[in-house]
Amino acid sequence: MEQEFIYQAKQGDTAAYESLVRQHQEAVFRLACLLLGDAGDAEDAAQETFIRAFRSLSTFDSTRPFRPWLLSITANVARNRRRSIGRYFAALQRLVIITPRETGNAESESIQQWEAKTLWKAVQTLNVIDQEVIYLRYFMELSVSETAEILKVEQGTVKSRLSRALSRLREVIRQDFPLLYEGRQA
Amino acid sequence: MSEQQNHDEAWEMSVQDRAKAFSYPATPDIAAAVGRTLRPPQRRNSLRIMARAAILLILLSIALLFVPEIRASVLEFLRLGAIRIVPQTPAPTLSPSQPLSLLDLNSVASLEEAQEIFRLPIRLPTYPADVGAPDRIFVIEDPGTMIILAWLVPGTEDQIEMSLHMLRSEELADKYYPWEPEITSVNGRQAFWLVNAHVYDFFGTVGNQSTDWTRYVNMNVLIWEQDRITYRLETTVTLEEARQIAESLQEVTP
Repeated sequence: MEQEFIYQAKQGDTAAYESLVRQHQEAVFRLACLLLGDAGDAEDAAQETFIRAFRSLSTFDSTRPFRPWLLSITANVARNRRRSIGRYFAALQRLVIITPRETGNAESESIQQWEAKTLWKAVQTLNVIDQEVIYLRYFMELSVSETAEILKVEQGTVKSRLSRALSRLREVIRQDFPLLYEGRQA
Repeated sequence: MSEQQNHDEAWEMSVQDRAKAFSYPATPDIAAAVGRTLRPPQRRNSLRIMARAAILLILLSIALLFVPEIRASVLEFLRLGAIRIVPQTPAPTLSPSQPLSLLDLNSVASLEEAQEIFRLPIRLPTYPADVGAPDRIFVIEDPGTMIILAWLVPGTEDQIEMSLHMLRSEELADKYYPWEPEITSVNGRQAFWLVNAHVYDFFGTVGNQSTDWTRYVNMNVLIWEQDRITYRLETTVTLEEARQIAESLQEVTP
């Protein structure tokens, strides 16, 4: 079905493209949220991603999966937006993207959410290469091969980047987020 | 399995578990917004008006090409790789106090980061023998990609002695240079040598977004192309020395 939508969208069918957007908007929006740290910016970035993708559809190889291609554009769009340094720091200061999830076990859920949010804050302090690989692999739960396709690198490079990023993350958490670090030790 | 490996795996699992619990905001209806943007306007009248405006614009452009000065500025430019030399007279007005200095750029990167972003081999000069590693590395990615390596005047933090700019040759940058550039060569291939102060304007070509980055250049500039990369060397040295620097570039080995 996705192949058919892509074929029709390549012919200029915007309705078919809207269906494709609907299928992938959550993944694109979430990656943009992680990278930009602000839901409003992420929504703008997601829209820009899909509009760019539509205009570049003729260059997309339909034999390849669509999602990595889209997420690769998302990462580029987010990177460009973060270069607008003022917006980036303002977003960092707000740190407001997390909304509580409905749950039956409020206490354990809130601890989990605090840990997840604190982990995200720690990742935000890493360089962009480390951030991207951690977000794609652990937050978005993508496979190594999909992550490699998005980052346009070999799978071995993904593994070595992950290893370096995890080690830097551990240092950041140990130094700047001691409560999270102690939680891990517990 | 060693203790260290166990420790690393436990750490990875811990990151994985915590990341899974991350709570995202609800996804807005992006499809509807994208659809509104992409759908062509329904009103036939507006289409007709736009078509007429386009025809008028084309006719006006053709008429303007009959004015020699305009024809010269529009059509007669030189291009080498990503760099187009526009003989526009007068050049865009930009006083020497206005330009964005390279050192004002925020996007300072390490050589490794620049290499990751550029995705083509970054080469460093090996001439003169004491040139050393660049003091500053800048990346512009908004949205075209340009890597700039800068060497500072020894003992200063705010004066650039030489800078080497690298663009992928599919990008586009304009130099407003109303003089004839000197034609020279680097590694046996055509190169340009510019000695007058001029305005330099870079913008990207990804998608339909373009961002201008305009600078006033008051150093000598050597432009050449090698392996799909267009190089600009901004320097105060002579042409002969600049060529030696250009021909000394060697790929950085990790």
